[in-house]
Amino acid sequence: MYTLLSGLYKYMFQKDEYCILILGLDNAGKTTFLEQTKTRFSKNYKGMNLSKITTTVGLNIGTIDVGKARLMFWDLGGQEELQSLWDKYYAESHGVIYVIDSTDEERLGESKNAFEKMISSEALEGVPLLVLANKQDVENCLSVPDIKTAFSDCAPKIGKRDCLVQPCAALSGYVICSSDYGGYTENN
Amino acid sequence: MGLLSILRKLKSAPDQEVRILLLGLDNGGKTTLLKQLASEDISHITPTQGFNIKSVQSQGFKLNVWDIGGQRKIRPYWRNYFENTDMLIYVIDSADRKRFEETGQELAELLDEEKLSGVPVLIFANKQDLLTAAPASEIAEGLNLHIIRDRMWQIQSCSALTGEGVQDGMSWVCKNVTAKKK
Repeated sequence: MYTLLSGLYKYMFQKDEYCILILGLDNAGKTTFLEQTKTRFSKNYKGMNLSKITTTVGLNIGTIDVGKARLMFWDLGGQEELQSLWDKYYAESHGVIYVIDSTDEERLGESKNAFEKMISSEALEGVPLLVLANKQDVENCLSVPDIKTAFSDCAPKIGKRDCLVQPCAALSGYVICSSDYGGYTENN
Repeated sequence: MGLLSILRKLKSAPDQEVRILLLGLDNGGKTTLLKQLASEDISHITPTQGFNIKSVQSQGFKLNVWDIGGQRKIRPYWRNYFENTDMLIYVIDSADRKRFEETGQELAELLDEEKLSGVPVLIFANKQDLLTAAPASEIAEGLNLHIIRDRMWQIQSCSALTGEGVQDGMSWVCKNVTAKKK
């Protein structure tokens, strides 16, 4: 009886858990994005001072509840030599957020290469993808159309998966909420 | 008067105390690191037979750092110190490639411990001042750190001898302890 009720309780109250990877080059703003997301969606969460975010060479974890879903974010280090660890997380991912530094035109090609390699992985086939053009609060940054153009030859590889490109400024929290709820999807 | 008592309260608000466990194989550099944190003389370090403990102020925290000897015969005693640990710091000799497997095994066993469940872990890839030191990313991959899914982890290159990288690692500690507490 206890087992039955316990099972029923779990069934009624359990939330579906989803794992979401946050990827992108170092300094794109992945950890800042994660901190802002935690701050805005978690009651009682007092985030760290965003100006004190240091380079991630490992794994940051954030868990938030949105409606009936529990989202587990895995924020991985983005340095080139750490990108070899990314694919070890793909098999368990339900979604990917790829963060681009819109102010770093010099490394846009490098970011595109890392992105292309990521979406080429079979383990991520069909996994929804959110691309964030970060640091839109900075003057003279690249716009979303600029970035789409730079990444345009990745379009065939995106294939059937849902993909949304969204401007954001993780530091100020701009667009965090609408990003999380998507809006419309498009294939580039 | 009210203002004075408010000021007194603000001023005397105790720093948040953090219990940090400093572990790793013998000769990884744990005690040198501890003394570096405490700004003490590091010219005469001998193998730790028992444990060292030091309190260090850092970024608004009082860090109580427990450095336990890492020799094989002492390792069973590590578990006596697991209770109430807020942060695990694991020190690796980056130049001692012959013992990477051993240190990886010890770390994996630590992470399986119930009393350390969910405790964030900072791995110091120490002795980066040596030419033969493996880079942090190579160590992360070699030790299969990507298997860690239930807690935050960070690997930080450092040289306890020169102090390089030590404060960066401690910055990560202070930030992630805050995250855990709230």
